[in-house]
Order: sequence, then C-alpha cells, then structure tokens
Amino acid sequence: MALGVLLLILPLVPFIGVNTSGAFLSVRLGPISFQPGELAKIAFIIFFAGYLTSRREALAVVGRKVIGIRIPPARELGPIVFIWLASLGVLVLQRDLGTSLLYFGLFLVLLYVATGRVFYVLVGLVMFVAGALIASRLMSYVGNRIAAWLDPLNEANYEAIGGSYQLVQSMFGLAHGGIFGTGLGGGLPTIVPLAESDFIISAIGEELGLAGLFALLSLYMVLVARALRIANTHADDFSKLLAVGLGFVIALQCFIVIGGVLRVVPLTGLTTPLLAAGGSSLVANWIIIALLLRLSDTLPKPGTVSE
Amino acid sequence: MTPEIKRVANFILLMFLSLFVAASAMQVVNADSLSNDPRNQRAVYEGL
Repeated sequence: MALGVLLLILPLVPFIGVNTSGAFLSVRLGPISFQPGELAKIAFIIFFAGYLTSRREALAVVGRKVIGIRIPPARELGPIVFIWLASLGVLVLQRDLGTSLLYFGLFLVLLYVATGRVFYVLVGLVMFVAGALIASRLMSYVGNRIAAWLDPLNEANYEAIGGSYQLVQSMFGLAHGGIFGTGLGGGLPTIVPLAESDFIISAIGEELGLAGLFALLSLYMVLVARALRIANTHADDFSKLLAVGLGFVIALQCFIVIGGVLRVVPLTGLTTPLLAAGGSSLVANWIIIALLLRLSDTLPKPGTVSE
Repeated sequence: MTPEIKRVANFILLMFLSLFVAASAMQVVNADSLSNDPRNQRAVYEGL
C-alpha cells in the first residue's frame, strides 16, 4: 500500500515531476522518465487482494437492516472512504480522471468479489458519481471534457481550448475507415493529434476498419477471459482476488480509454494496454501478464491428482 | 466467490459489447454524415 501511494504521488514532487498537457503523471530522473502510476496499479492490486483476503469475513458481516437493505457496521466502511478520498485526491491533485476511475473501479470490483455484497458497489458508485459531479463544477477541465463528450460536433465545444477538436478529428478518421479500413499505410491517422498514444484506437480503426477493431477488442476479451478463468479455478482466496484484479484492470483500462475515443464515456488520458506508446505502461502490462502466467502455473495440472 | 466472479465476467462482457456497438455506430451508421462534415480535412486529401 505504502509503495503504491508513494509511486502515485511521485509525479507531484518538485523538480522530478513533469506536467504533460495538464496532468502530472510522469517522473524524470536524468535521461529516464517513467510513469509511476502504471506500476502503482500493480502494487495496489496486490495490496487489495492481500487486505481483502484477511478482512473478507469482517467485511461480509451483516449489520443492522434498514429499509430492507443490510448495512454493514460503520467502521467497515472505513476502507471504502479511504480509497474514495485517495482517488478523488488523484483527480484533484494530478488532474487525471482516468486513473482515478481506474483505481476506484478496481477496488469496488475486488471488494464485491471478496464479500459478495452489492451494497458496497452501490455505495461506492454513488460516492464516486457525487465526487465527480462536484469536481466537474469546481474544475473547468473536467467540465470541458464532459461537454466535449456529450456534444463534440457543437461549434463552441469544437473551438474551445481543451475542447472536442481531437475527438472530432478521431471520429472523422474512424468514419473514413468504415468497415474494412483503408489498409495499413492507406489512411491519414496523423491528422488526429496523439494518434500514437491516447488515440491509437482511432488510427487502428481507420486503417484496419471496423473489422480490425473488432478483432482487437476480441483479443483483449480473450486475455481478460483467461484471467477470470484462472481466478475461477484457483482454490485460495488471495490468488482468486489477484487474478480477478489483474484481469479486471486490463478490461477497465481498455474500456475507459477505448470508450473515451468511441464516445461511450468521457475522454480521459490512459494508455491502451500493450498497444499505446509509453514504456512504463508496456512494462506494467507485461508484468501483469507475467503474474497471470505465474498464477496459472500453480494451478493443478489437468489429468493429475492434486495432493 | 465463484458466483461473484461470474457476475464480474458478465459486467466485463457488457463493457466490451458497448465498445462494439459504439464502434459500429461511429464507423458505419454515422460514417456518411461525419465524412460530409465541412471540418473534415480528409475529403480534401482524398480529392488530390
């Protein structure tokens, strides 16, 4: 936990923190720069899995019943409140909506899997939406993002600084690609700003078309499905939670960033796992895959009798 | 935990389905109106 928090706040440290287009995400040490948030992601999953394994009995305890809903004892809400504050802190201090949503969603899912209580998910969602709404009122960049998401073709949003220009260019690109795409090298994805990182999906959608995009999404689904399969077959709680966490973080990250480009959710700056430019993200995602392989290796081999 | 994992799996499926639907909407259903937008520079490049 301490490691995760430390990695997360590292970009805020003066002199080594780098401000890239409004978000404090990377750290620069001499010639090397990296995004500690990506590695913090893994530290958090391991911490959550360990914490919830030891606390799941207590968290699942049924407390008083109010209007037909069983409310757990108040002190058990502590961890949710803490994670909620932490992710709002990321939102406010590092100005990064995507990371904030990623950590919070991850925590809620692991809490749900560990305890089986829908109550936590409902409370968590209400808290996050409330927090995000307040943030969008208080901080213009969140509000701009939401306006650009709801009506990108609107002239005012299109012209605004930090408005929907990028998103609209990416929509033109995707529309140009159509079903089968323009072919590799046949499109003009360079018109879209940041086509190598945040908008890599738009470049793929233009050149490989809807068919290529579907194939790519299916590959992600296979990866996530394997993670959940490992979680399902494992016997001990910690491994189960770890595998669910690792699988879900890939799924959620895909959803947030690809959904942002495709206008399912407001656009936020996350990297597309294993695809977009950014060394730290690539390394972090390969670490996730390595952990999954390791978990998979400890499963009893099919056909052999386990001890 | 197994039923919860299944429910999470269904939720993930739903997230990906929404991406499939959104991609289809943007690349096929709305493709013509987007291509004819006056701000779309791609039409200019196509004409060359």
